Amino acid sequence: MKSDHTFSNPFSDSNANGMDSSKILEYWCDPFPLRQAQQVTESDIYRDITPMFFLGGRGTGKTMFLRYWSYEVQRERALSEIQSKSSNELVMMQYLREMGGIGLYLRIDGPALRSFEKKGVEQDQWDAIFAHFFELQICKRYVEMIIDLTDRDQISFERVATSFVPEMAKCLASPNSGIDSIRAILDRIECEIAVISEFRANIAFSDVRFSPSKAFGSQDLSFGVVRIIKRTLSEYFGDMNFVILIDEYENFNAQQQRMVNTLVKFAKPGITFRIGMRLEGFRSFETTSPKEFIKEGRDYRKIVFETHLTRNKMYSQFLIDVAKKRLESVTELKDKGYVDISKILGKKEDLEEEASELLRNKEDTTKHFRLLKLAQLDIPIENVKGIISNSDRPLLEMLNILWVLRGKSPDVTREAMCDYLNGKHSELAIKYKRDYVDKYKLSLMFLLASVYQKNKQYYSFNTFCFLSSGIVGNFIGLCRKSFEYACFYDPDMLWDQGVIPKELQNKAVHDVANTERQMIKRIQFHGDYIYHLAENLGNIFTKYHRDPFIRYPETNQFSIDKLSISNPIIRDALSAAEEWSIIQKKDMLQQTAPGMPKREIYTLNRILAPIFGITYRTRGGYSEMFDPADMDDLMMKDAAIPKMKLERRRTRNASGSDRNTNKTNTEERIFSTGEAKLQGRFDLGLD
Amino acid sequence: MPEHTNNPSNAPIDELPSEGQLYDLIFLMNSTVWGRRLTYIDIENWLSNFQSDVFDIAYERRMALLLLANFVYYNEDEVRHLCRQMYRNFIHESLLKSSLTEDPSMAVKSILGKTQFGELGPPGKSGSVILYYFRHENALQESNIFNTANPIPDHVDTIVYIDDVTVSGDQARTFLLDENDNLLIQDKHIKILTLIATKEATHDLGSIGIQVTSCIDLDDRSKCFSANSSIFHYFPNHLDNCRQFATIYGLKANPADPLGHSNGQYSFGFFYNVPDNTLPIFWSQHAGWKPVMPRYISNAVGGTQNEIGPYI
Repeated sequence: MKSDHTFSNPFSDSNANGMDSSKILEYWCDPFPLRQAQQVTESDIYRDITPMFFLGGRGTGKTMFLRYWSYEVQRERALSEIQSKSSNELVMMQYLREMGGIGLYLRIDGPALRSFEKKGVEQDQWDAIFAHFFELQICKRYVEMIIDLTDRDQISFERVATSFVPEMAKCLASPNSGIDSIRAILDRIECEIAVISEFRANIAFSDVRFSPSKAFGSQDLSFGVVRIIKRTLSEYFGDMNFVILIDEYENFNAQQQRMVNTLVKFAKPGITFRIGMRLEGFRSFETTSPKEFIKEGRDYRKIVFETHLTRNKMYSQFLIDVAKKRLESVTELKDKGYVDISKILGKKEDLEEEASELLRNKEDTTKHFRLLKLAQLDIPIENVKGIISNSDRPLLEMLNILWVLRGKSPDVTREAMCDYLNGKHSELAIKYKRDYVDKYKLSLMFLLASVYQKNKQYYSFNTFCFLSSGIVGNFIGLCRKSFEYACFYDPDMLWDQGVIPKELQNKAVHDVANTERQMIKRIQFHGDYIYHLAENLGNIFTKYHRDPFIRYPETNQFSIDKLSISNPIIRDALSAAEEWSIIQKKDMLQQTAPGMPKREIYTLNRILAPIFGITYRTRGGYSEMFDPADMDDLMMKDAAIPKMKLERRRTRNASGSDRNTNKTNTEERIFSTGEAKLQGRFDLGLD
Repeated sequence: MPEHTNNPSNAPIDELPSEGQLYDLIFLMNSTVWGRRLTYIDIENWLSNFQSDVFDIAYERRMALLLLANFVYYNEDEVRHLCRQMYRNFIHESLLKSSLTEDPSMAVKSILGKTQFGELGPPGKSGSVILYYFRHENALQESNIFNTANPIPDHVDTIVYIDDVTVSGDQARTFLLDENDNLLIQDKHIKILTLIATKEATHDLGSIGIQVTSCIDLDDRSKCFSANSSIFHYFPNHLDNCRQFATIYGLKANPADPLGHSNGQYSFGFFYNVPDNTLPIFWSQHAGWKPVMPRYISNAVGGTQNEIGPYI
């Protein structure tokens, strides 16, 4: 009994590897406004001769970006523009020339790269075989591009046959090799690649010899073919750059990277590189020449996708554009005008409404006042409750409780609230507003949810933006799951109103978060360590979020001096955690707390926040400061102990005098049942 | 304290997965395997059939969802895959009988030259659907398809009948006897290829000289309420209750066979239809029963039908 309202999930295609050229073009959103800070423009991609490395975690859009600049996608783009202008002229080549370059996309998967190792073959020999293989792969892409342009009558077949082919034949084999056409050249290259594949497959089982008909060293073809193209087809390519787009560079081993680094460093005029890789994906900065290495700024530009996406204010607009392209691809949604993801998800969460909903239908809606037991009060709690309550606005009540816990008298607290609500501009009202709106509203919501043994909900476009942590793939994943749930649980709401209920968004968020958490264990190297790290960090941050005094609001950062870690496994695991974006390094040094020295600050990827019931944003303020011994514990033990002593507090009684207090057994029994403690939900900083 | 119901064995309901967990599982199945065939509303409509006739409504819902979460649904991709597998099984078995010295590709050619494939059952039933996919997936030529309008060529010595399921073997036996009476297939080797078969059907048909080859063998574990039922492996305390639940509501949904044709007790279906051996509480539309996996009946009047449903 299929629902009448069914349509395909607009977010179902999420991996650029699996998309064809037309899909890449269809889903492409201009990311350049996001990167203004790094001064990268669209024209730089083809025209700037300086090689560029694009760094970012899984799902940040590196593959989409690199593939977009490949010849195949730009050809589609050119054809589509030509079609839209109804021009029959021979303009595709002209279009490409105006772009200033041609991109050749190369992605060699990890297993293939790792097959150039061991199996009884000397590493020197493997390195030579890999260089040979790499050169042939690049060469193949040059030749395929020439064939395609010839087939489309964009370049002269005769010119190719009489000039390019003979030169290439000489380059690839002896003059009388029988290579007499461009397709014969491609056949020869493919045969040579097949020889390598056969060798790699057989070497583990037999003592085969590697015997190519002609061996190629580094640069022979990657640079050599460009020289031939520019010489023999100069009228077409004379002023164009050939841009070699290499994806997943982190999969290259150190020696393989050295080889490519050498090409990067010594790139010839008319050739440049755009290389995509994970953060921490460099295995080596060296080249094959002794004492030579590639240096950022001099030999290449580094563009970090992840951090810039996070920091840039245009990130949310970029995500709206990304979603719009996808929503428009589903006719039913486009026809109904449901193409703005911020409207479908709702722009921002309504914390007041969420708090009220949380208490709705609860037998006891005053449970949060039991937090007052932590305060040193001179009057009974019931009296205080009577003074500071505001049953319509539970979050204001929470702030009032916080003020009293921090030593403000109930009467002053009430006065501040009333002034704020009445729009007065008294000093108290200003402070109250600042605390409520600017500082603690979200923290109070987390605390309130904790008191009532509920999870704070994660919903709205704004929340999804934060949760995605600068990783577009995370955002698409959140939207995909939300649509899946909406199509199952409430298709009519989506169909009739173009809205996904927040409960379903919240469910989707938890699903995605759990999937990401499970993924950590599957990380090939140090997965278990990273999993422990994420769990421990999450649990530590949870404790800060449940501190009734909200002394360190929304803590989700930490600092560690990586160089001080002497255990190489822990150091590598930390790098791997960064490479897989489980933790994300802030791009500027920051103080861990006011008055503390500046250090490198990391955040736990916010996509994991729902698992631990912690904030989805990064507020800064306080960061846990870890040393190498802490790192050992965090990666190898259950060590979720906050650095700050949350169980001790300094507060004032209702009459205003200061006093130091320690927890007491009486104070621990804030709640009438032991159930909450049993479930570990009410830490309250007292355990 | 665990919640108890008015069930005779007093099995605690919280031994079973929660409604939320079962919905999560069904959601996952629905979005990955069932082709988003169902929505929450469809399932709730179906659950509204269960109005505490047997147990507390919460317990009845839990058992219904447990059964649904264990429903095995074969989507189009899987049926296509099984059709390829069925063909491979047939070729494999046939090759085993050919000479070892013969070139295998020639042997396959020879086997196909002497074989015609037809649907098991009258035209327009499920055998026709499977034959359609079988032919497409295995790139069979028209000459390989058995057509009752034309006499079987002399060089064809094997007729292979294709169907989706044979549970009791009765329908197959009756059909083949009719075909034989009509002198259509006399003096030919008869084989049956099915996606799914029970051991009993394979054995019974084998006893009259008809070889049954299937991709999936059903045994006791596939029967919802057998002692070895895989569904209740972890919840043995609830097996009898669930049988009682399915029987009483089954009597409403399909009075003649409350647990499915020939007391099938199965819980599987295909994208094009659900066999009648499956529990009727899933598929029946009798007397206002609201199905979750409707069965399309060839003589159905009204009801929900998909594009190929009316022909099955």
